[in-house]
Amino acid sequence: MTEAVEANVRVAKKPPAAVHYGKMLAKRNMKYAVLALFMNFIGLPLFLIHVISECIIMKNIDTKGLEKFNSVFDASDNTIYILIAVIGTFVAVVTGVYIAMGSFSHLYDKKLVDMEYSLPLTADGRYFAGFLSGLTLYLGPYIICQIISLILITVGHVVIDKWLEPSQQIFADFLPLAVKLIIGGFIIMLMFYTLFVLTMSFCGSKFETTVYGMGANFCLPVIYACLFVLVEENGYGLVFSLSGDTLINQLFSCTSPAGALYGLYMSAFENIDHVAESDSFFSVYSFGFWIIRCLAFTVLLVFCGLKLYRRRKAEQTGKIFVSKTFYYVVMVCLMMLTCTFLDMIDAKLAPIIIITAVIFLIMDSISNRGVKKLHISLLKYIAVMQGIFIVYFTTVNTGFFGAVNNVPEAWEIKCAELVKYNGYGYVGSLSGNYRFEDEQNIQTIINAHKKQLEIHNSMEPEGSVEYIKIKYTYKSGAVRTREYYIYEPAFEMLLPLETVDEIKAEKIEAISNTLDCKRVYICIENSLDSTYNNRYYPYEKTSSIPKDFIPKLKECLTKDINNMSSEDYADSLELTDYVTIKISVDYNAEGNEEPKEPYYYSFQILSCYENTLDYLSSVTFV
Amino acid sequence: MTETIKISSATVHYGLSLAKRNMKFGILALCMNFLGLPMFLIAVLAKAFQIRANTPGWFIDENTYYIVSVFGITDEIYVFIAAGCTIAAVLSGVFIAMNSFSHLYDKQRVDMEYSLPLTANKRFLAGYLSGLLTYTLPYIFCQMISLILLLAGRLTVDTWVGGLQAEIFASFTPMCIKLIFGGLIIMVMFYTLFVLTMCFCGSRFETGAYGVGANFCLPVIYFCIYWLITSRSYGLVFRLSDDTVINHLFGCTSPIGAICGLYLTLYPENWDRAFYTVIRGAAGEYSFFSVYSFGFWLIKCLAVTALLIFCAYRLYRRRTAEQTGKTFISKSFYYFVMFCLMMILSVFVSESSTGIIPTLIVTAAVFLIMDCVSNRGISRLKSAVLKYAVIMVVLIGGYLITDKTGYFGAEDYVPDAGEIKSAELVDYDGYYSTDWYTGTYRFEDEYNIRRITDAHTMQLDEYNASIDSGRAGYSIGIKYTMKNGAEVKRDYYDVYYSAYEELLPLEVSDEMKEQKLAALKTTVEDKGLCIASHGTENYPNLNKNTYSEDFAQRLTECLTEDINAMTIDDYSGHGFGNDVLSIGTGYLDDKSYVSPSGAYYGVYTITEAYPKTLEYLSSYGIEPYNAEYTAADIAALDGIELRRVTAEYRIPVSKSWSASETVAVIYDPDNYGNHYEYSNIHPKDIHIADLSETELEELAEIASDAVNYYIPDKDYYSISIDGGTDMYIPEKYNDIIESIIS
Repeated sequence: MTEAVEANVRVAKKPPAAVHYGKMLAKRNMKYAVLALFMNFIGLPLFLIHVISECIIMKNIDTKGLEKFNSVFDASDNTIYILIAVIGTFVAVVTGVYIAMGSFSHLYDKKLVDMEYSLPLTADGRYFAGFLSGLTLYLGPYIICQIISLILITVGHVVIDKWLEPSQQIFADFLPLAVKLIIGGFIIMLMFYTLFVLTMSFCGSKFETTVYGMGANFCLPVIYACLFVLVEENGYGLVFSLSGDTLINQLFSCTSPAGALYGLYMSAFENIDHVAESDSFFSVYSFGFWIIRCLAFTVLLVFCGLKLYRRRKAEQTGKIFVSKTFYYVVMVCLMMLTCTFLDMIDAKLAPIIIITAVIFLIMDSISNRGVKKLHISLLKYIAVMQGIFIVYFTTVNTGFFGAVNNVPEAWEIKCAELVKYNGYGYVGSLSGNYRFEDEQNIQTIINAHKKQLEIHNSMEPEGSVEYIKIKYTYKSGAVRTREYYIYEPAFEMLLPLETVDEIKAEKIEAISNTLDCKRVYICIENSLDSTYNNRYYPYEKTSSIPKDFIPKLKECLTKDINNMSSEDYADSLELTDYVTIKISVDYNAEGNEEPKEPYYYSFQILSCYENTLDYLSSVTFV
Repeated sequence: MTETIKISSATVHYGLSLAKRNMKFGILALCMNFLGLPMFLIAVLAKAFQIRANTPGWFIDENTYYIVSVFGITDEIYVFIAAGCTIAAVLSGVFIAMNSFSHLYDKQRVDMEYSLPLTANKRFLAGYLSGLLTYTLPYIFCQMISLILLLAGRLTVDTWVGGLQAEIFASFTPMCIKLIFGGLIIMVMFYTLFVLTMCFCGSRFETGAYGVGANFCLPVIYFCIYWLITSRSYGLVFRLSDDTVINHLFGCTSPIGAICGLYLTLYPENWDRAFYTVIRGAAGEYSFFSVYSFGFWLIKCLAVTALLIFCAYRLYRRRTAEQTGKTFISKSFYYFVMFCLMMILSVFVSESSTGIIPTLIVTAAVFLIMDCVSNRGISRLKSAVLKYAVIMVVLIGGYLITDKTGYFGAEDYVPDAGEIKSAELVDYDGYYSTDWYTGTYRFEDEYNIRRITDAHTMQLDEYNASIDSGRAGYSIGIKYTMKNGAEVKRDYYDVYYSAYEELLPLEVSDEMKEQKLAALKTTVEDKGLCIASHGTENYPNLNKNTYSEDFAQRLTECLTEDINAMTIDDYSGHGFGNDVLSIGTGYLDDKSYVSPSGAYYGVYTITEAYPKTLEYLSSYGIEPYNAEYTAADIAALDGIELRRVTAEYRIPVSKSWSASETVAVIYDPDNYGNHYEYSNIHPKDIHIADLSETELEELAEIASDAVNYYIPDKDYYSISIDGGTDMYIPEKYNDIIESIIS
């Protein structure tokens, strides 16, 4: 009796079978975890050790050497250490493949399947034991190494930042980026591992598991890239912005590890051009929202993986593909990518057919382990290519299902915006975003848009003159953007907008904002007197310019622009006598130096700008 | 007797069963081979027929002169397809070999196959031959189609082509035949090497990975030697296209090397050595045993392949059934591959970083991963670290020994003039670098040879003593042929003055004159002569009718007389002003002397050292051009740079920039940048607009009297006008210049 009780207590104390099983799998995977640990270590930690050691050496040998550090990336030999870090991290990520394969080896290894299915475990228990034990071994080394990285950054901040100037706090500056990268890396690795486990459920042999498991990572990015090329090459006026805050970018950046990498890039680095477009939490530039999306998608992957795993039978291990649909998805993506690539290098139909057929038939022969079913492969190839061609031609020939030729009606539109518009008449590069809500102005834009499409669709389109981007916001809240190199007749239709109050106000604001910049250098060019060309007048330095030059100039320009009528403007454009004001702003220059990397704006002072011309001649510019 | 027949039929049976197993790869290889050369030729023919059907007369239209080969008539994509598919066809050899010898890595097969009534010899022979035939027969079949297509093109397309155009198929055929034969040899070598490496490995993964990797071992060693010599040694020479023993060996000892070897035999006329032979009039001759000879390449490759078969056979016989399943049968092979891998990684990483630490990190990471993979785990990590240490010590030690001993004395070796049969100056274009042609001058006279060895010694002495007395801004190649037949080659970039000066007497040596004249004779016969530059005009297109029929011949005679009579003083002491009279070679057609295309063979600068030539040209009204400047000309210039040059080394004025110090810059601020770097404005910068009338006149006089090509014996001033070369300013103007500077 006592013995029986003791035995019962022993049984009760024993951890559940699933934990045992997980531990056994972990033991099997230990070698990969050691490899991952090493590879993770030569990633970010090694790079930081290099930077710290270089700073210490500099401090002891040549204190002047410390002056070169404006960021951690300024260490000498940084290319090779970054390369080592990137390759090390990449290998560490790829170990996930081997760890997942080690954890779920009964999905492709006939010798193991019966033994593992005979264990006292439910499918769910087996799945989670495998999944979690693999995940721990995969992410454990990463977490350890990244904690080391954070310690190194702290050490760097406490020790090294003190030796540097207050403007050179390299470790403190690096910390936010490093934290984002570390968390982002964690999320991406998690997604990569989960996706691989999911694809394992589709495959029953070792070779296919590896190849298609890796290949599955590229399916969505391939579709995204093909869509991009299709819109760029055939969607006249349609906009596919890789960095825009669009739904497709939101989706792309969380639905595959490669896409997530892109999403991390968009949200972690602050120097992306369009980052100012939106600062809402739900934008594509928001790091927090990116994490939420990625986690949600990963949970979905875990769930799908579980569902598929439950339906796997022991007999399916050893079959090449458990579900052929997965294989066809990968093949369609591969064919699509090949076609797109060949189309981009202007290949004709015959080479496209030859190359895609060769690739498809080889891949199919491999997955059939022979050439016996060649005629079936051929049929499958025809079906896949026909599908791709039908989709391609339908999309292109219907003008992307009407989107290319679709111009909204004025009453549907809440506001129309001309983005980065330089104004009619090539009078300057001081572009701005001009927003119109008045129905008449919206109608003007719509008419020009219609004219543009009309000319483009006519047999002989004329030469285009200027890049233009139109953004309509519908009353329903939808946003549509189109961009064109606009033809002259359509462009002319935009002339009346120049003297609209909205554009005047925007112009004045743009001019004064630019003139108010700290480092402004002004160069006045007279179209009739070339001796005035290329002379710089650093405002703060040159005594020959009155102290109140900029405020006066602003005042005159404001007055002139406000007084200008449409006719004046059109008449002035006819004349060849004009003065150009070139403003260069060097955002990086310090003190009173000349601009080294100036960003130029210029605008013409037309003959209708009477006040400005008078003022400029009074200070002997004209 | 009956038994023998039975056994041999068992061999055939076994071979056939393997062939059946390989059939899918055979079919794949057939498709891929067909999409290679035959498909490309079909595309060319189809396009040609299409063009002829749509635009008759297109082939004889003079505007299509650019179609000089089959590659100009079809889309590039077909070349891409052909290349990609040929690579796929070649790679199918890996699978065929693995299938034919699957008992070497597959435990399930080994017992069954070893129990067949076959000896090891027969099993090897059956496997090897059945695989080889499955591999090469599709290739041979497809290349026969290619030859038929070439013939079809020869009979159709070539007959349509008119005018100046080449017969595109006829001219493509010889190269094609070389490629087809070469391709076959390379495939056989690739297959055999793979079979050999299979005997070293006992598992599928290692067989695939190391079998392919073995192809890169010898090329990696070759590349590392190349890197060691070209980027780390001083003066030693390693040219990829030279006819040297190492290139011979490389061109036949590995499939990749064989591709390079084949490439060298395709265009022998393109390689430097052959090019110089052409100039000397020997019309691109090379011996059967040279690296450019296709026949010899074929023999070498076949010999190596036979050796590989023999080695594979020996190894195969020693294989036992139990070894199948082990990762490596002989670890030496594994270490050899790893050694090569470490070597190439070390070279790449050390090229892109400083210090040894990155190299150690990268090589250690790669080695440990590879070692863990081959050990199937990390249990033997300690021994892996030890192995890594040994390999790196050998590598680094080898490098240090080579470097510290000056490549085992080769860097500092200058042969004794008495041991030398002939010395050559390679890529040498004369002391003034304005000479007849850039080529190779060969000297056999001991006095001349000693000039070269002395120059060589001085170059090394200055380099080793780290005394930089100044550079001539010029590179030079030396080649000694020793009396025992050995060759010693050295290249020096940026020769020191003292060494360069030693070479001056060679200019008027009989040997050099003789070679200059021989080159003159050959090129004039081949191309004719024309005026290359006269005054400011480059290649004036002079009408042949203006000259007598024998213009080129008479001019050659005058040049010959002048060159023969020239003394060292003539050569070094004369010059002309700003622009000079030059003669170059030009292509003669019926009507005129056409401009030499890019002065392929260089130009002669006619100075006062050529009195007869000047006299003859003068009879045609062609006078040496000596620019005369007026004060107004100077005022309109963009910029003038005045320099002080030390004459301690008797260096020609034309090279003086490298030994000079800029003393004054006279410039127009708006246009100076057209000719010079703005950074040169520092010592004394004067705006042209600020010069007085007198100063302008003085400068005009100086500019008019300055000469090119002069060897001064005192320190002097030089002038460069609007970015032109530096010219010697006669001593009498020194006072004026000094007053301008101050």
